[in-house]
Amino acid sequence: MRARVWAGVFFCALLAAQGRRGANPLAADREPIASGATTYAARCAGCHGRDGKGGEAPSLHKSRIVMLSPDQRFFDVLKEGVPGVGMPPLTGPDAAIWEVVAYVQSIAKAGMGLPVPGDPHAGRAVFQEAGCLRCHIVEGRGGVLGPDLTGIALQSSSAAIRESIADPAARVSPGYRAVTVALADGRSVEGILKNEDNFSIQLIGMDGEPHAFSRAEVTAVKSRPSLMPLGLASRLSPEQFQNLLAFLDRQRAATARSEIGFQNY
Amino acid sequence: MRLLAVLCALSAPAQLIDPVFANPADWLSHDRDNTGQRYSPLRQIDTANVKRLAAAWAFQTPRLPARSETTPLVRAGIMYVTVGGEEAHALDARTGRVIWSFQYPAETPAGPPPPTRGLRRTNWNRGFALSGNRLFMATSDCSLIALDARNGSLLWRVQLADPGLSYGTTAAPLVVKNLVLLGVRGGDTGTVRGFLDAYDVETGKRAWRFDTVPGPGERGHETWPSQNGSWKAGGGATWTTGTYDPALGLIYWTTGNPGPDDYDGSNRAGDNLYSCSVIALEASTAKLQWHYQFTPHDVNDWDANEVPMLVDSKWQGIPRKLLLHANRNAFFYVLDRTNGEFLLGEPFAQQTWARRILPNGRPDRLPGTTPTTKGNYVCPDVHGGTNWQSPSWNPVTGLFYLVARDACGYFYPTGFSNDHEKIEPKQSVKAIDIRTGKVRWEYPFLGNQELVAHAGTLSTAGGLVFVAGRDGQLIALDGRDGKYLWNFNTGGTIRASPMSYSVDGRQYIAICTKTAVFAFALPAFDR
Repeated sequence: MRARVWAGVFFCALLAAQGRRGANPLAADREPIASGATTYAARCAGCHGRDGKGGEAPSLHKSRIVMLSPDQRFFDVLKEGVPGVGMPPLTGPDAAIWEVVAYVQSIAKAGMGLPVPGDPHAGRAVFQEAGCLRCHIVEGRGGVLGPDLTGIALQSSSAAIRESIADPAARVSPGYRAVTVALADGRSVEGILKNEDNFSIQLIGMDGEPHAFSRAEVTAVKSRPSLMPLGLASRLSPEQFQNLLAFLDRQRAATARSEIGFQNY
Repeated sequence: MRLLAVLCALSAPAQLIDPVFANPADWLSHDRDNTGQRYSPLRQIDTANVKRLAAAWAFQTPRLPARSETTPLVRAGIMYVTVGGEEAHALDARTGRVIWSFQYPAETPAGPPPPTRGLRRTNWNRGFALSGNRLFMATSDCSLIALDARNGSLLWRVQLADPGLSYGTTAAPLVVKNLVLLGVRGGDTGTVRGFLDAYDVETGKRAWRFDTVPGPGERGHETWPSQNGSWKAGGGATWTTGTYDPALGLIYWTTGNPGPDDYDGSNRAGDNLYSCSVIALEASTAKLQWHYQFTPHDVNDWDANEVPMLVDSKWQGIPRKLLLHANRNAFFYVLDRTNGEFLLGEPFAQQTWARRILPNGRPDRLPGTTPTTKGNYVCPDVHGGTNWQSPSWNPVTGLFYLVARDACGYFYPTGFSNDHEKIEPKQSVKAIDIRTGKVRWEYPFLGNQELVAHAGTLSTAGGLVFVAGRDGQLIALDGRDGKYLWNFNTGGTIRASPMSYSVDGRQYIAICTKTAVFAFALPAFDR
């Protein structure tokens, strides 16, 4: 009997230890995320891409280890590397490795953080008044020039969403570059570049319709500034801006968003 | 006497290409023959009719490989193609229909069962080598296997090194007489000391091993620190296919970056021989005849694992045995392959690390170009001015065709990050005039070029250069001026180089995409 009690105590202690072991001790802390970003840029971005969406190495946004495994498993993979596939161990103190865990989760594991503060209902009004629906779909309606925001909070971290509004030109997702295509017959078509190579070019025009041209028809492809309204954040009050972020943070419908363009991987 | 001289002159070109590669219809080695020229003597498809080139067949691989970087071989109308390091097929080269398929690991009557698989697999592969009825293939567990070309059954298997120490094999082996040669990858992991192995084609018995990082007492060991033993993990991996000059009896193999710590050289002061070099070995004994190091004490991961191409050509008016090489460090080199003498070194892509290559063959490295903790901005980026994808040569135009990358990046002692913003990466096909090292023409790939192009070139006697874009386009250019002539969208990523063969008098162009093999020919009524 006594042995059984002790066995139970031991088992509980083991469980507790495992619980501690599985979680990132630095989770949800801002400082380590910033510091992890620096380490990530130097050690990881070369292969996994600066946005973690992959390059020579796989996308972290689709990684089972990042998305599904306990923090400790992710930590172990960083610390030990993956022999045989070209992923070296991340040398350095454990704290620095946990910082990278926190940073990668903040960019890749969207929708995992605490709810963004603010009034989402007031944010919906801001979204509508600012004209966002002209280009974005939420709650089943809107335009197609910009990314569908139906499940945006499950696809992008809140930091990335904030940046996209505050500084839309800073990072334009592949497949959303605004261009003007000048044609040999004198016409020009404005829209969002979806794909291009040496032989043809595909875009969604400002009319919301797909257009495709052979290179022979095209005389020039000129980049335009982002179609997102510049300076939107400064035109809103801090409260309106926060409410807008809160509204977007609630867009968590698990509908699939199509990955458009750039078969260049 | 004069007659003898004429005879010698006539027989000179035949000496370079081993007679086993004489049939123009066949493609029997990774870069077609022993020279690395990747030049097909076939001329049915030419600059005038290539516009009518059409798909003849496609073969969809049954399983999805991690990466297919393979060049198929073709002999007497049968195509042999690897898919990753665990799968291979023999196909009817006229129709793409399967004759046999091989899955690894297989039943191994000739050896022990393969070791544990899993994360240690390196499941990308660049193709077969062929000798008689034997096919040779590197596998995902760092082994070399021989298959019976008639039915795909496993004849023998040898493991080169422990994949647990990050050794791997991905290259197409090279057959030199009765030996089959294969090198290893893993030089980025800080655990690997590179080597090149030669095995008897019949028995699989090892004939020799050449360590690319010399040990104590060996020549070259003095280019490593004497105290810390860093040479033991000194890198110098040999993960691509070399070339062979039968008249000189020399094989040429290139080596990768030194280790440990790719970007922080403080632990390995010195030139770190024979990393980032080409080595010339006596084929039968592996005795080192000469070496040339492209990037002494590399800290940018500029592997020299690009093809050491052998060409006999006039050099400043005098016929000379040359070795041509476009390096990841963005310089194009011409060496005398009899003795390694440096003849020319000219940049072919954007570079900011060296003033020039000095007459003695050493780069004049610019100060302040080594990695820093804040990130030092250097061109080319880590992927280099070019990479392992095969270049090609045309003896008529005298041009060397390669896929080049103009891009820059930040280097830290702990790693690198590519620049996509300050200077947008550019990638293109470039044709280098070997007499001057200057780029004669350029065909740029349009669209987003952030991701690295790893598809090489094929040159043909029809005056064409075939090349593939990473985005899946197979493209034909005029070898003289780079003018666009034809293209086909395969619809899948291409990380392989095109090849050509002929069956029943019909010439084909073949390319492997990530999941398929495509073959193209002129429509039957055109011929």
